[in-house]
Amino acid sequence: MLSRRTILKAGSSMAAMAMAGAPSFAWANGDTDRRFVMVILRGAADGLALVPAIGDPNYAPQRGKLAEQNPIPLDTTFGLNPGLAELEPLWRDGQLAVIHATHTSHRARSHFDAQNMLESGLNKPSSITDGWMNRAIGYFGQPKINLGLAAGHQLPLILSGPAPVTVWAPRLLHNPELAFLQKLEAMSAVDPQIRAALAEGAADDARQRSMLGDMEASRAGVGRYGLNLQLAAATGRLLAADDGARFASFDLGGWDTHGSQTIVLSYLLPNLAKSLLALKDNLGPAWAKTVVLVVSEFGRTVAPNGTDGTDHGEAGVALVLGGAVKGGQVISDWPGLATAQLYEQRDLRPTTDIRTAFKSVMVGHLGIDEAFVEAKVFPGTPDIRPLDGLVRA
Amino acid sequence: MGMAAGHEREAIRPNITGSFRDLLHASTRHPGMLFYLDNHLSMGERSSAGVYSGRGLNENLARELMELHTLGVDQGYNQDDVRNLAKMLTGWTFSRNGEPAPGQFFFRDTYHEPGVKTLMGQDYPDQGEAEAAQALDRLAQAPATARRVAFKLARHFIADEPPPALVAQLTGVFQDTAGDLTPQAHTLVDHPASWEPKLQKAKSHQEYVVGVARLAGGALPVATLLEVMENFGQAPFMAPSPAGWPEVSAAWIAPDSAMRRARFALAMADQAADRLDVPALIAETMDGFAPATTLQALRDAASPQEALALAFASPTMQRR
Repeated sequence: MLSRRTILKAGSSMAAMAMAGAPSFAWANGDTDRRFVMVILRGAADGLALVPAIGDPNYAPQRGKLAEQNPIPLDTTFGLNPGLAELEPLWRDGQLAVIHATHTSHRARSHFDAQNMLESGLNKPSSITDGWMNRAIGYFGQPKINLGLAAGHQLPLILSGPAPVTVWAPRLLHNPELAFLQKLEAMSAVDPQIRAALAEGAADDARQRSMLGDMEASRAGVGRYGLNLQLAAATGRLLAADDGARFASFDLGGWDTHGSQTIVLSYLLPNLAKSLLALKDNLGPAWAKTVVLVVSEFGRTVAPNGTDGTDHGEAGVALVLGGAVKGGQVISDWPGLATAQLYEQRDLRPTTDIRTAFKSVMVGHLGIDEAFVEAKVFPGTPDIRPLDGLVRA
Repeated sequence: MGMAAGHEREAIRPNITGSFRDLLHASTRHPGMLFYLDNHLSMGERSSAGVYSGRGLNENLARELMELHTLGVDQGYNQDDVRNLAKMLTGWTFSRNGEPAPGQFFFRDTYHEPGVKTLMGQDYPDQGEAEAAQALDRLAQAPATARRVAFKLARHFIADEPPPALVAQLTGVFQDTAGDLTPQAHTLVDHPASWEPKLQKAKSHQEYVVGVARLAGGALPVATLLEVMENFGQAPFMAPSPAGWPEVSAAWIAPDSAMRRARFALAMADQAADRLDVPALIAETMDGFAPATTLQALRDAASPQEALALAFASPTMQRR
């Protein structure tokens, strides 16, 4: 499938872009100085583990051995998992908000369908090939620099689509000489899809290397958790640049905690916190203009399963971080944890469609026209209103 | 990784020309699958072990069996069916250390949920290990399973968007032969779409890396190969989800991975060109196959090493 970008690039000279090596554009990316990052916790993170409802009278009895013993209190109802303790200063500074009992409109507990809907923004799973972040980028027309950035080895659905998007992942082998790339590009003319990918990849690579500097040279990616930090740090650096991307997404995996959940989360949660702080540190002053949304495709069963884990559930939690966030608040139409209050008597009942937060960021933070958001980004969702009071205008 | 490799070697490969039913049984009973999707931990809440320990069901295997291995999502089952299939599967596990044949399939009846289970409108009396086997038989012959297997075979071997008539033909053959996979293969090979000279599928990164490494003479240490595949985002036997790797070319031909393929082609050519007869290798692998412009570009290369790198990175090498 050819994206609009590949069609545009097919006629351009890769050589000219690669030759610049470290392009320093005279103009900044004038379309927007706001930054938006989606962090997708793939595998269905347990919202009641990340942000336990310690003040709900049914919390401890329902959670059993998964009830958090040492939560960091956020308010009278909610606490923060101590594995996320490094994020507590952000809460105190009003730069971390929580949305609880949040959900997509998916109700079948399938990772793949739920991720499809989280990323497509649609009301049903579909084979659509573009994601809602990509459609939102379309609002800014055809900027000279890619506004979208996917950090990781694959382009996720959320950023797929007609708007140009750059993919970044740590490099393993030496880069080819320019002359070789020119010959390869010419030879690949017989296959427009491959030629376009190569031309775009060479241009992206040159630009990223100039922005990342020493970070690109230091291969910090040691093991899975090191890679997470590297993706987060590089995302921050690439978004911070004046002529860098503005929309980014990266994945943190491993959240499908069917067994030994407490042990698994004791590794994952500190890594999540460190990754988010690495993102913040590398954004530098741009953090003030940033919203980061940390979401998962759905939540998990309220009660432990038979194997000290949790099975696929319904509502979960979203974390919202950044200098442009109205933090220090848990936003929730809390459904309660008594068995009769649970969805199908087992899962946290969904009360806040996650797209209310997406729309709030689109309109309130990124300044995208609301009519455009309704028509193009989240079509068919007139009843889902932007969440009030999530971002600073 | 080790268990996924064992699953492929012991459950999938021996059954690839037999019936889909046998393949499904072998796959589901394999310790790798029982471990990967947590069934070794699942026990009925009313089983003796469940009552004793207070532990219970794990739905993971039951759900993926219907969603991914057979029917497909939204194909006539609901959450109750998932739970009930999970109950039927309780006890399907493997022997532990100290038990006979550790690591082999073992039905642990103390884990098995007693009582009648209802799966998609049909009641199954309490029969221990046989319950899940009966459920697998039923899933294997469901029309939705026939359609799904047919589509997946056609997409994998023919084209990202396979001809609908071919998918319909495969579906019919599947149903007429009770899911025999050999006629599926024959139908695919006999179909004209298999013989179109145009390479319609993009190689996965694993196919690409292994293909180039083979041509280069296999001088690369396995650890290096593994690191390369991991960097490509496709470490062997480490699919990111139970759904496996993507099938469509857009997943494999992208700007970042195009550069990774170019880097890999160069690195392999650098260390292989001196010990290979490059013109002979190109003649053997690309003549009469690659487009004339590709062959001309290889002849025009500045050195055997560059010719080899260009051949490795060529569109011909990147597709199948």
